[in-house]
Amino acid sequence: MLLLTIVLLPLVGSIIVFFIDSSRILLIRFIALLTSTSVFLMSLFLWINFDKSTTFFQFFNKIEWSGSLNLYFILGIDGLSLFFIILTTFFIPFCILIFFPRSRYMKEYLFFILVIEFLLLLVFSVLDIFLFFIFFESILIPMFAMIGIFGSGSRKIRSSYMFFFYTLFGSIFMLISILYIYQTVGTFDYTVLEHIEFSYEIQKLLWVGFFMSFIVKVPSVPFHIWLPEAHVEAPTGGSVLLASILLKMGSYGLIRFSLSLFPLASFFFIPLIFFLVSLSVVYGSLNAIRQIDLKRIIAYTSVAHMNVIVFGIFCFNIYSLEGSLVLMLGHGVVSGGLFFCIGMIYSRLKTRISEELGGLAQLTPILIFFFFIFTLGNISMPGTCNFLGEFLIFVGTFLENKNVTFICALGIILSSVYSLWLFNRVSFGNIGILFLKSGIRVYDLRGLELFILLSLLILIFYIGLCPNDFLNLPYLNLYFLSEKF
Amino acid sequence: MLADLFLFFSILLLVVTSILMYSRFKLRFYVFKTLSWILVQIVFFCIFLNLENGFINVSIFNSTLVYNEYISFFKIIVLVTFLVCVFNAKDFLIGNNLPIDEFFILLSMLLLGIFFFLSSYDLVSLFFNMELQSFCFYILITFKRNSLYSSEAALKYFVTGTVSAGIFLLGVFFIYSYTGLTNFEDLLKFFSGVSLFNGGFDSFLVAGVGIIFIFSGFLFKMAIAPFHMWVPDVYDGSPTCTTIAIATLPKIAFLSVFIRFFYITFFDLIEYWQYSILILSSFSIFVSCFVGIYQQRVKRLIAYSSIGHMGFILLGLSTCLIEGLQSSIIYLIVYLSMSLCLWTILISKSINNQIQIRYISDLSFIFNRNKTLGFILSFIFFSMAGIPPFGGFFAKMLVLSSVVKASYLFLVCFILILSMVSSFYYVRFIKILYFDVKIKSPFEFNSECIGREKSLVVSFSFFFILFFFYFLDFINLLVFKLSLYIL
Repeated sequence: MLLLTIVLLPLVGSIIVFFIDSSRILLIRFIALLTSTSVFLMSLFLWINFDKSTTFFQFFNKIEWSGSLNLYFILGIDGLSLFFIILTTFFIPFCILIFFPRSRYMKEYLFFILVIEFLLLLVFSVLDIFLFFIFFESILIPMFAMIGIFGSGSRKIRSSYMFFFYTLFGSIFMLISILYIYQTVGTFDYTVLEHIEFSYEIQKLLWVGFFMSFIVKVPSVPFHIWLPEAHVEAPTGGSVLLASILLKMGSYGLIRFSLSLFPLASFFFIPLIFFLVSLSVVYGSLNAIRQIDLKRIIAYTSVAHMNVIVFGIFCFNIYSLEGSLVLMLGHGVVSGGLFFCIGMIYSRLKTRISEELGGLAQLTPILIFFFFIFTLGNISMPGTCNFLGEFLIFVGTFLENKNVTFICALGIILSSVYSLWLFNRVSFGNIGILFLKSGIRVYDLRGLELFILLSLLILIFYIGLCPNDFLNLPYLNLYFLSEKF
Repeated sequence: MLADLFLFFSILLLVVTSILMYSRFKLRFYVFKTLSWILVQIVFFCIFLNLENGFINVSIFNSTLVYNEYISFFKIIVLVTFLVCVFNAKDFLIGNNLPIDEFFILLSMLLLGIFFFLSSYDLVSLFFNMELQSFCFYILITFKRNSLYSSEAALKYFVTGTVSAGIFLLGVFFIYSYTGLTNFEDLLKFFSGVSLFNGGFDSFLVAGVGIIFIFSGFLFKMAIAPFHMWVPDVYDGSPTCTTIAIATLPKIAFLSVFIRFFYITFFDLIEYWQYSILILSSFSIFVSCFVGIYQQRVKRLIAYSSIGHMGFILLGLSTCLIEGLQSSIIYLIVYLSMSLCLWTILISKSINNQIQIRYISDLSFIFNRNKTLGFILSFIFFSMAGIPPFGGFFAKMLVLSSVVKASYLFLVCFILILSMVSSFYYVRFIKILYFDVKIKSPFEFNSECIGREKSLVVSFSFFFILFFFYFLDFINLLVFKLSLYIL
């Protein structure tokens, strides 16, 4: 019942927001904040009440949807999905807070944010592959509107189209696989499908269908074009959601569906994955070095980090699986924090081009302090959450394939190159000439912004320094998963 | 049966009244104003008579016409659609100074034709009632007499429609010359148990050719791809109140008879028609998605999208499975509610402001002036594109799942890629609605209302589409019950 309340509360909030007159901005903002923070607090209760000594799904709900088609609405979480739910509920209040409160489309923004939260919580908690597909796809609609309406750049329509069609293209193949499973097995229920073994040939086909959908979301190299475009055009809140949670849907789906349902096919396709992963890590990192738009740089670093995660997932041992789960969380927090920082810089200076920036350490020292810490997190400095994740991943992958591990570990070196250089360009040097001419007064962080960045900072070091809280809960699930191979 | 008789006598009464009132202008005006409400009452009576017809399965006139629950169901769907057409036509006709009485009498004659067409159980009566519908349509399309486009559209429809009717009749002739039978029951008995292995391909060639000819006559009216050339021109040229009727009513009628015709009578000659439907339906989806991208006018684009939707409906039928049949009927219901909602919004917009919405870019005014309508319209387009939580997605998914069950996996792949391409132009609609909002449009007014009946139509169909997942079980069971009549 707790899980059902958590999932449905954002929907209720969004409906209330929808029916309030758009001139009453403060009321709308208050309601949106109230729902999202209460959802966050309730999701902490999930964590507290979670029983880590079992691999069964907890907080289980099964509601009949269509008896004639054998469709059920099944909710439940295990150690895999718990932290994604908490991550989602954690980030949504910040995305609401960061939006400038006097903007024109305040009501629409809050409505879309709450709808996205509702759909994301469902994606991470639903245990029916058909419903998973539905919610996975439904996020397209609010995100499409968000990039198109609230986007800042001139290419926002192009990038919203790109986002829409890349994701739609990938998900088509997943739909075919899902329909095939339905026609052969007769159910969409994940708890039943877990115990069904498909034949080797069929597994390969079905695996390709699921993989196409997830790899576009992750994204890996041939399908990554939409990510920088969408990041550049989206508003700050949208970028944060995109980087920290929406990308994780792909890697979550890989663990949850590709690995659990089709273990033989996953094993078969290891060479393909390793090829894509090593390509994307190196290509993404090199691309990040030569970009000048700050959001693009972070987008390409996301490509690199997410592919390290996929590499960890497909090595099938407990170290790398745990590591990739932690790195998913860590990357969510760190890249979210970086996007918040960039949004704050943009709201002050109205530019994101690194050549026009510079010398910000003199103007906004506190902001630059936070930017520095998040940059360190991006390099995966020891002590931060990313270090833990990458270390575990490479420990695991070193046992499996040394060459690919070597190539992917190049990503660490390259990440320090682009991150430190980015930090250098933004914070040191001369104050940008363009900016001096325009004569804007620059303020340092204000209360709300400080609160957002501080809480992200605390989370980074909490995951990095007390890893047991995060490693213990999914341990049994991941252990049994790795035992399948 | 009672409903048909009731409708027939009410139309007679309407004709007599309108002739008697022709010279008395003051009274005439009063009667014509209320004519639409009289029609609404007639429709409701017909719905009740169809719901409670008192018998299960009966055939009359030497089994020329047949009545059962399956047919009653389709009649109710036709009646509801007809009701929406009446609601939409009333304001449009008043706004354009067109004669209301003629239009409504012709429209109800069309309804009568569809009623008899749905019930007909004989090739001859099938042809007669098909022609009764077509005659009404020839006049309804050219209803704006002084409009060039309208006359052009009517002429095109007339020429192509007559040729297709001739081909249909030729097919009837082939079957009659081979078997000497025209009744469906007799044909079913004649062909039952026949297959290719029993007598060879050649022995049924004449009947097969006849089936193909009848088949193409059906496909012409249902606007399936190689026979679709008339669709955009006729949609675009005819007045919008006729376009709604032509976009919805004949499709229901022909689909229902198509199912009865091919799934009962000629089911044993499956080799002659299954692959043709399979190929033509995927071809029409192909045509609709690639030609639709280049369209600039709203009605033409909707015409092409309707070709694609009809392709999906036939794709379900082409599987020759009971799931495919059910999914086609569900798709038909969903498609009807989507397109009626869309047409209602479009027609109400084009009356109220003295501007016709002709081009797609004209739609950008809607969101500015009536945000709720813009919101609903965008959801309808997402539903048509097949984006998940809406009705259009579930309908598409059911059709494709039946095709997967028939193990045409690569066809499903192909169709899904095509449907992704076609979602491009639906998304373009949404882009125009939301992202191209012009702050200072030349037609800037306050937000306007669209009238009580139309808002009812829009809200009901919108909620049906939005909460289709809730109705899914109910509709599935209903359609399952219907499909038992086919088996």
